[in-house]
Amino acid sequence: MKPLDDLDKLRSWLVEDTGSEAAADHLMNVAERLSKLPDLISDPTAEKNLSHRLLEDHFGHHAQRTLVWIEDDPSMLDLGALILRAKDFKILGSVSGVEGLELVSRVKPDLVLLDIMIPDMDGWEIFQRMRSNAAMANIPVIMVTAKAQPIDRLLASKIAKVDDYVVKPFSPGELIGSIDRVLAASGKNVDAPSRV
Amino acid sequence: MTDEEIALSIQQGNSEALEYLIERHYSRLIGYLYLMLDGDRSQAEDLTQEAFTRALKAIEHYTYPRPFKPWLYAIAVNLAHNHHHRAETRNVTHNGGILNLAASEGEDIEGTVVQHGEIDRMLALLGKLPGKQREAIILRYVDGLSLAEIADVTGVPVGTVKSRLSIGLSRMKSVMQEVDEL
Repeated sequence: MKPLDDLDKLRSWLVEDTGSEAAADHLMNVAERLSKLPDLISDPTAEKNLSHRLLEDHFGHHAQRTLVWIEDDPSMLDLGALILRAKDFKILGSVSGVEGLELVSRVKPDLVLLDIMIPDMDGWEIFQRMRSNAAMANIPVIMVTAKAQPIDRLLASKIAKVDDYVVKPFSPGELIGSIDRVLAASGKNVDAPSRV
Repeated sequence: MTDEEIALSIQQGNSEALEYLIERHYSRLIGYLYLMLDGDRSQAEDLTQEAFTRALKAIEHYTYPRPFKPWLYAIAVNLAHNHHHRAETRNVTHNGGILNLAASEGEDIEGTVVQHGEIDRMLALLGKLPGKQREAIILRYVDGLSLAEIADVTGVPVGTVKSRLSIGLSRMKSVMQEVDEL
């Protein structure tokens, strides 16, 4: 565990640096708050963009983009992997909403494809949780769903503000077109050159 | 895998390992630069990229198992010092930087205000400190560097680091006692 994750260690540092237990107690709150500042300041999107940029500039190849697809139908995940194979994505799938959200939090992908009707946690809740978490708030999301009523499109695009909406059954062109639009809008390079 | 093992791995051709290095150090490195540059996010991001770029170039000449983290932070400290010594004046204050951030993201406004209120308060507190003491406190309590690492990064003896921390923390304690609410 890093020193700043361990309050006892943080306090021992304060005692060492101030020479006083009383001063350490007085400063403990602000020291703890200082240790949490990087999480408030840092932007995960900027971090990922830096990684891609350095790999391209320094090593001469484009970083493979990561896509997380949360969908309770495994055959849909297999189909998606087949369609997106040529787009140079690393695709991580989850048939569980709860585990899918944990995967997004851990991996911080370039894009999330999200089914609405997932038994253990529906797509809207997953989306809201992503948007309310600073580390995931800027990750683009495309809703993929069997619902096709105009009200659902309105809900998705205007109220919930997902980045795009794809209706099943979709063609490969429809899926790829949506991904291309969303990544272009988010400033990510769409047609990656071949990896070295 | 240690930072040194990752650096060696990159040197040996595993460029994808760069992602682990950035994941480990990006948030605290930009935290240091953001606080040292009075909340100028744009400059902090630019200098963070510059720090990693220089470290990446230097990795080609890296000799394992030389400590990597102090090396990376020494680059960032020098970049921050050089930025402060430049002739031109910056127009963006930390308040301007925070407003720009809120406007460009268009996210939850209340959450943004709360988040940046906290950053603002910490910037104001750190702003009461002279540069060297402020730098030592940020490297210690924001970035989690040990006394030896701070000494290595800043090029001064451990005793000097301890002195800067002691005086800086004493000053912070006085400021906090003068303020009704922090």
